[in-house]
Amino acid sequence: MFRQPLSPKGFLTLLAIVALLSLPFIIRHEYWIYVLTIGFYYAILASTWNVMAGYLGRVSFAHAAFAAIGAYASALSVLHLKVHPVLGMAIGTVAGAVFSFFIGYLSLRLRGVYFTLSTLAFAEIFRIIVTVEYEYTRGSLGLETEHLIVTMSYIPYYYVALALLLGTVFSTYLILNSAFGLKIMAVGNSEEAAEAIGIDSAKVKVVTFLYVSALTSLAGAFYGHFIGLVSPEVGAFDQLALIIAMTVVGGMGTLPGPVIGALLLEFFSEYLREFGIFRLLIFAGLIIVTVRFFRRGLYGTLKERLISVGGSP
Amino acid sequence: MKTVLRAQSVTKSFGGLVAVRNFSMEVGEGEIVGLIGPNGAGKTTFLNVVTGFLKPDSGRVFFMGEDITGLPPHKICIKGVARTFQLIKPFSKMTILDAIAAGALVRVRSKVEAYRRAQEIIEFLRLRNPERLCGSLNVVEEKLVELGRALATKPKLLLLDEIAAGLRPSEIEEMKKTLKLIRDEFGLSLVVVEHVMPLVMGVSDRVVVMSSGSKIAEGRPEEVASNPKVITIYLGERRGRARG
Repeated sequence: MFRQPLSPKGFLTLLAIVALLSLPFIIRHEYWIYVLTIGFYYAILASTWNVMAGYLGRVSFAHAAFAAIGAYASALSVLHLKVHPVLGMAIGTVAGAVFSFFIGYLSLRLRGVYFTLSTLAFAEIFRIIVTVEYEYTRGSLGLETEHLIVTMSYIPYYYVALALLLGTVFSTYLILNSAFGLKIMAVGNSEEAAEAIGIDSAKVKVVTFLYVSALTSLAGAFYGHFIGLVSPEVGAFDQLALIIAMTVVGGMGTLPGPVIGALLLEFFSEYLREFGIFRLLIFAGLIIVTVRFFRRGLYGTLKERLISVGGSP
Repeated sequence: MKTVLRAQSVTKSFGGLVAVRNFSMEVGEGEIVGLIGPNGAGKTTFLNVVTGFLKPDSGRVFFMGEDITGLPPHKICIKGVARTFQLIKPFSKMTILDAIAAGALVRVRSKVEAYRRAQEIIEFLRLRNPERLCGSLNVVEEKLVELGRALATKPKLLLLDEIAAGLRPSEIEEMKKTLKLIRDEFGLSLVVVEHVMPLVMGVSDRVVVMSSGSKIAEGRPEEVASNPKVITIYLGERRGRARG
């Protein structure tokens, strides 16, 4: 399938990339550029969460927390070390990688749900520390930080976010289609069977978690320097719930699913802004409907229908 | 004959229950050894000890003369021991080709090479449409994929845990041929844990009988089948004594 130079899949992907690249020239409205940029941020988070939940079969509740780790690490190093935000983002990425290595090393050896509980505990501890350590983080007021680019327009940010998203999706595609990708899926299907055929499941899980968390922290760091403010909200539970909703609605265990889900729900989220926190109720309803009627999510269901109608996969 | 597997007085208990008690057995090169015994005799527990899924309380396991006791399962697989599971553990969301290629990755680094080897095994086992998902197969195909996945790791010793359970008589005959073919083509030794007597008696060079965690008999299939102790544990006290 992927040996052909341009399969229907490849063609659609190319079309989507060209469309996203030219969108700022079509939509002249700065507000929607802003919404799309935030949408890209969520698309990165949903895509990486999907690698864990959809392929490795491990649900991490610390995903939003890793975005916050990246954001705080970057903002604090820009503030105290006086580095450029770009270097700050690199530091944020490394911080995410280091934290995820230790958490992964300690908790990924645990089976299934205990990993999830450990990540939840870690996320809460991180949130509390950030809120309490007012002197360093300015607590729930949020920490002001430099913008990545000095500009009046959101368009440069749009392209940076798009580049980060494309980088995430492309590297994820390469990993999942590599030999290591087969190992990820084997562990995700049955850890014991994977061990029995010589796969070091602990290593596969730790490496995958590290990759996922580093990218998430990078996205979080970018988000901080885009908004100009880092608050504990970045790592809050409702953010995590949003990421999960985006992944499930778009199609867990597929590559384009989380991206589609993220952009769609971000738009919904903007339309439903007046409902405030009650938006989560609507998203919860969406998850239930998806799980009940379109188990594979929007993209997964669409793909299935197309194949069963007789189109090429 | 070179010894491939040597288990030396292995004991494993769960709480107060001794599942395997002071159990020893050997497997020679190219040999097919049947391991039989009633439910709860400790056959699967022993298999789990050999393949590293359980650590024994005491006793040692040697593979090709090397002590492998207590190594993690994937390291034991790298040494050359593969297994299938009694309750099969299919890679449901992967294709047949991907599942078997995942097994080959323990020997080759490149995915292309892994696919090539998987393809060979798929042809050998005569599995059709390897692009199908493992979650959509019938019982026979599921067992064959499980077997293929283990074969792809290029083992010197293959442990099969009730590979024939749930198969029809005609399918059991097929499996019998397949197992003998595997031994000859791949040049490996087999341990066949089985309840299906036609299969285990038909393929085994030697049969070991386990009961309540201990070895109670060992020998050629026909010797074991007429051993009064074996008949007793399978058919009950009276029958066994009457026959003996």
